[in-house]
Amino acid sequence: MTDRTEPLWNLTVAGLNVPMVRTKEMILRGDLDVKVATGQSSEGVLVSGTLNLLRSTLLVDFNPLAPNLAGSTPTRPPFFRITEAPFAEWRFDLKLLGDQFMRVCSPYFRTTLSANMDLKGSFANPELSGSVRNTGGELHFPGAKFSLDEGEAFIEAGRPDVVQLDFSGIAQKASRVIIMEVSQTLDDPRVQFQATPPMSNAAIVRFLATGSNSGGGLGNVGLYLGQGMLGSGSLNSMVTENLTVDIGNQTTRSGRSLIGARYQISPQWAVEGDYDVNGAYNANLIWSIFKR
Amino acid sequence: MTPNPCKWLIAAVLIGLVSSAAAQTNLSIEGMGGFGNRRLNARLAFLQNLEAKESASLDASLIEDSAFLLVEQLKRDGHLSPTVRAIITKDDQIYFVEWQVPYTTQLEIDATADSVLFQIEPGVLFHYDQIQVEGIQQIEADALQRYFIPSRFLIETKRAKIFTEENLDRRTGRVLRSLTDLGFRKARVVSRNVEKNAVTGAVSIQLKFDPGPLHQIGRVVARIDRNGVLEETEVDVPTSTLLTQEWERSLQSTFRSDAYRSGYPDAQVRLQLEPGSTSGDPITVTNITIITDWGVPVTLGNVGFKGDATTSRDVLKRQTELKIGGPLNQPEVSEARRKIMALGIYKDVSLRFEPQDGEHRNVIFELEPSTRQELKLLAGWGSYEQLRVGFNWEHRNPFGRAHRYEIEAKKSFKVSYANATYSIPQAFATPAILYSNITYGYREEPSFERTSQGAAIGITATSTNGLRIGLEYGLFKEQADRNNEEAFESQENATVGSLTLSLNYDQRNDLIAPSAGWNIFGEFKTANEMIGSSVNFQKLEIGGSFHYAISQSTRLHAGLRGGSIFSQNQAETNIPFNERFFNGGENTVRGYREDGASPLDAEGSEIGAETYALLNLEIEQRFHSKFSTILFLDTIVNSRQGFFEEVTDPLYTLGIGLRYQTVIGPVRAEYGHNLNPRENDRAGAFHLSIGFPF
Repeated sequence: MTDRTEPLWNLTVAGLNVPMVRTKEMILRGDLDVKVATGQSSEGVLVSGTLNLLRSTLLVDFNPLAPNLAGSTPTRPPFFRITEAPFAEWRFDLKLLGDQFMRVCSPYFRTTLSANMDLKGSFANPELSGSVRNTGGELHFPGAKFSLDEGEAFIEAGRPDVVQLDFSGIAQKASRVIIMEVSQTLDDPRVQFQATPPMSNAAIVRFLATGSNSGGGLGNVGLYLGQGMLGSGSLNSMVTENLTVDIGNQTTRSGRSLIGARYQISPQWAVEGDYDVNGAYNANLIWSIFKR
Repeated sequence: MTPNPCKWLIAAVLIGLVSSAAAQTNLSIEGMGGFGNRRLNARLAFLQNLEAKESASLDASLIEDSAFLLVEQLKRDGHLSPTVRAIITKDDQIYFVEWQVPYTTQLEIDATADSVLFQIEPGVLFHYDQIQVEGIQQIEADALQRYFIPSRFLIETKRAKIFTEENLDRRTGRVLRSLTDLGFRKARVVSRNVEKNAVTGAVSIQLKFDPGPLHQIGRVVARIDRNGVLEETEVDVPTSTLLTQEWERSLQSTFRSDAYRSGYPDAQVRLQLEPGSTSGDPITVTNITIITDWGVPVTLGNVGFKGDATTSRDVLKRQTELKIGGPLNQPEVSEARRKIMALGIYKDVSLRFEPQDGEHRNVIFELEPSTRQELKLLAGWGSYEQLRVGFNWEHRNPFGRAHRYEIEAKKSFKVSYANATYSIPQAFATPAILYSNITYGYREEPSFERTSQGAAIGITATSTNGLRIGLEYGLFKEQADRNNEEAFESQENATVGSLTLSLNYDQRNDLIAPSAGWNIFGEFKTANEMIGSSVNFQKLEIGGSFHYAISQSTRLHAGLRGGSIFSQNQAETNIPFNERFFNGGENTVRGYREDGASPLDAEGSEIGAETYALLNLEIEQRFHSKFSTILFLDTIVNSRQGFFEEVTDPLYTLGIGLRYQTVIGPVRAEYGHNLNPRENDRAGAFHLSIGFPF
């Protein structure tokens, strides 16, 4: 004791369902089980333990067709840094875990995230590594609905200041299949679409925005990007999640494309409306009595 | 008038659905109206992961987070200064808590509640009122305004012009993006002034941009490291080519694609930009080096499928066409994934490599089957058929071959219909669909009864550029039952063996509610004794539409189509009555009821035309984001016999209408007045309908 200029201390911080971050985009909660202690040597204070993340929410305005170019520099990992004494020299050995802990909601997609990350280094130079994975989800465009595969955003120890992305989704509408792949980094994401049968990039964007298999001009795409058809939390978004509009390969006797709309009320019940080959329109209540 | 209760049925059901989305029984919201409350409640339920119809466990953190989410949601909807008041009930005691912006109120840390009612006072709705943009000459002033207020209509509600800081950032970002797409990659906002009127919600904005110099591409060099061998070549780029992000991406994609297709899936491509010679003050020239590291060559070890053991692996392998032992061509692997998905029997097809790195990798497709068999009962209403009931049985992937068959039957007051179709998607590993069907149909037309029964086989495909082609052979028994057979002689009982070729090419910007572009279609049908027909005739029908924006809110729509049936033999015995053209009604000549604008016999019954030409002209004036008015003129010329040999007087209909845009097309209320009605024709007709007419 006589050799030390500072007292030895050992503090345990524990809590259940603790709100940790509340910003306009994010609510982060978790169970805390963290020790803050001075080491036996001269290494200083160590913050160690586990944060079990749970019941959190992320509200984002992500739109792969129109990335936000407001000019602000994206925040880079480790996302925070404290340089004031005495905290600057404190060290981390924290595990951040969360199984489907965060629900993500934007005008365009919904998913649930799981995390497995390590926080090491010091408050002045934190080192964050690990990954955040999505476990399925849906990405909505007016013209198509993507089923998201399992994907991840990860930080490698060798590139600690870069969030790398690896997500993909697939959508099928009529005879078209489109794959969306998001790769590279959060700062400079590469969003790539590929279609079968092959379509040009402009045609794919138009298809996603309007649901049309073909067509000229990008007027509606512009309108869609400008207005955001699926406005954040609007009634539209509630309806379109369950609404499927199909523009068929057949035409009516008068040359119009057959169009059908289906609203799924429940797994068993749906409402369908369509123009038939005679140019008449019909509305049906559908009861799925057997399905496998 | 054409009754259309179906849309009201849809509306009623949708309202019911939205109502049923109301969330938890002990967490409720009021103050935003019926729909608004339910919308916020449903959103809260999703974000908080709360189960509908079940009581939530209400602790301090959940109540605070809910209030926070409501405040943020209201701000996103343009109510920048909302008040959220919670009426908290705990053990029959009632407490009041209030949150405003900035969000500061905190509950006791151990607070809990039995129920919470959030009362919302949204406050003023902030909206774009005036936008002043300076410093940009490259984009027209009107177009610049539309970046911030997307539409300009005669009547604009505040809700169509909602202002939030976030959407201002996004819209400013889009202006910058447009400038960078024009080559001004250093464009920036110099100053920004936002004035908000806290009483009216009107927001005035002054923005000043500096586009900076125009960026052009100078010398472009490709430096490729292929298996340790370094190559350097110069890439030809036309002079004065603009340096844009799209150009950069396209260049990277080309070089990456070359490597991928050669079996180097780990290839890395990056661009190195260096200042080049300056050809003038406002222009900056940039030299570019494309640095490509192909990495190691990878061969395809094996192709595996995981899941869905019921589907033949041969069928799946035929779709993939991947060469085992050859270079691992990643674009081909991705194409294979899409082709498997296009079979239409999977909910999802995902892809992974095993191992993820190394010189030999296996491709594994993980298959998640979609519903394979489904029996559905239906009951509904048709605009022509009225009350209808039926069933539909669909079996996807019978015999594990990724085929599909469907059996359906419908019965209504005017129609009896049964059909069985067997189809093969991705036939011959192409996007074509091969199908055959057996059909029975009875339909009570306005002036006769039509019966058709037979079978057909055909193929349809859509080309890369959107051309849709179909070819079908059909053998059908066609019967017509008319009241006044003596007044007009026609073939009413025929076996029609025919080949039909159809083409459709669509260049409209939107098939549901087009505002620009055009489409054409054509169908040629030939019936001949050599292919099993009892009659000989040819039938051709062609047409198209054109849509043009006269101004921001005014559209011109034009439709033109015509058709003719002709026979080298005697027409009366070779042209079936069912094949004649019947026009009139909400999508053709709107002063008449369905089929009412076709030629008449001496008794006044509709007998259809052997040749017709129809022109539809419309001027659409949008006066609100959802509503528009229509002025239309429909004109038809019919020929009772031959190719305009016995032409009847043209019929003209002039009319007006009101349209409301929905996600499934415009809801239309239209009245057509007949300018030259025939002796027994009505003065006009009123139609209530859904969908664009042509």
